[in-house]
Amino acid sequence: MTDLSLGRHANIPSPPNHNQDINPQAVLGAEIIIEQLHKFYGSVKVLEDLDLHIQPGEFLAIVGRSGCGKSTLLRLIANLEQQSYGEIKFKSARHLREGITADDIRVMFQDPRLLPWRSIEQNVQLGLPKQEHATASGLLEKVGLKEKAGLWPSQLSGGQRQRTALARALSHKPRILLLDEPLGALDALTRLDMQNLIEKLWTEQGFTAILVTHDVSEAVQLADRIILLDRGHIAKEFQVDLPRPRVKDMQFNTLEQQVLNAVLAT
Amino acid sequence: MSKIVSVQTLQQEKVSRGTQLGQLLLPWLFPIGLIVLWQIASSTGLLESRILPAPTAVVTAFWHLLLSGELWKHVQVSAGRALLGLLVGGGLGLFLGLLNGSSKTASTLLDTTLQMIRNIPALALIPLVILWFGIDETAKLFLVAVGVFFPIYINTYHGIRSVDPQLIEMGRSYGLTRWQLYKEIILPGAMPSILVGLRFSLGLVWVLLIVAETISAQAGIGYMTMNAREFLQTDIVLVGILLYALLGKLADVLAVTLEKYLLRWHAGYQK
Repeated sequence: MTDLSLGRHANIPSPPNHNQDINPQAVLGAEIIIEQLHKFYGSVKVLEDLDLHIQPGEFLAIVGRSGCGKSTLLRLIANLEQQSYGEIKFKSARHLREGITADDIRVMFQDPRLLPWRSIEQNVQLGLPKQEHATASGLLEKVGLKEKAGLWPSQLSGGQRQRTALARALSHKPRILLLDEPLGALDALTRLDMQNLIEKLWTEQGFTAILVTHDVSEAVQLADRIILLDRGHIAKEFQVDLPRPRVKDMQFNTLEQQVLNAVLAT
Repeated sequence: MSKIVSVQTLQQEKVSRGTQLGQLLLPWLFPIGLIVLWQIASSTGLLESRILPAPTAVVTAFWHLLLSGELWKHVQVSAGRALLGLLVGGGLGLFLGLLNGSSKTASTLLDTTLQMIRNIPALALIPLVILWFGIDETAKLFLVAVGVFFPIYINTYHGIRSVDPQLIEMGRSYGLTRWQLYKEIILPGAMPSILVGLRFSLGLVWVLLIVAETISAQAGIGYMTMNAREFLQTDIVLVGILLYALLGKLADVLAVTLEKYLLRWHAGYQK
């Protein structure tokens, strides 16, 4: 399946090892191949000649300073915007299903973007056929909001709203989950809870995850691989080979410092 | 020591209860005082009943009209006109507001024209309306409908335009169909604004009705007041005027109730 990409991306590190030994559900994740991606806004180049190969089920973090093009890259993958030039290809793992459609990609935005006029439960069921409503409500239990199902979004805290948004994204059984700084607005404790929740659900469901973040520590905490974007190019890549669940030991801190230094150097 | 404290809190409670009652009564102090003054002025002959009848006379007139069933008949006719005018004008305003808010082509085509027509006061159309429709029901309906059309149109249009584009983007990327997008996001998002338009319209309905019913009518509150004027029955004229105020308030209460129900998700409407 990856014959094409192996030739072209021979220098890409081997796929993360969690892929081989976790539960069979993990075949869900899709593979993403990005080739010569360009994005211009008028004469401003946001992304230039970007090549990136994301393994099925990989957790990739994209870090970089503001305006480095990381959110644009995510929006292009999400098909919220169109690239100026280049290709984004999707492949399903193990030929479960050949084509990946827009329905297989879900985005979690920086703000929860819940519908204020729908209850928490109805928000999670948004866009799903009736027969899948029960599964969606089950996800609410997974994110610990079962007893809040009947409330309006305005009655929840910021963290609870973002957890609802996570449940909503996962209720569509995505093969790719795109996270656009979803924890940026949360307080430190809520953020840690959310990181653990995202990691847990990612391990259980096996989707491919791409996280755009300002927070280097968060990237090291969650990702298999971290890429550093600078002026529309990939400036550096870091492989995170720490066992999960990750603890902030010496190794963790050293890597975090390395990544942080690299970000500051851009 | 503790005794003193408890006495103090007790006093504080009494005081706060007293201020609560005061808060409740304060808004009514002025109108009630005015009515009392008015009654005194009428009773002492300071105020001629030809100019302004005594409050007691107004109440008596109201009572008589109520007992004879005349009042009910006029209110029914007026309310019917208000409702029908609101339905026709408001319905059209809602439809065109939704259309122009959602479609760029439609708004380019129609909005300029509608904005021009909006600047003509509905009541300035009276001579033309009489020539077109004569002096029967259609003329009155037309006036009311034209008047209530614009507040609903403008607010619906504005409401649709100001729906959070981030929610629409989310809806699109979550695979909602066009109809689902409309039903789940655009329409509820525009609802607060649409309801503001409705409340404006409800206020306007009665203004328009007063004028429309004085053109030429066989029934309605406007007819009742005009008729009473001919016979110098100032008390009945006053009953008519107060009826408009009462019906206007009633309509507003209904609108607020509707608002409270439809916008119960809104933080501003939760207790």
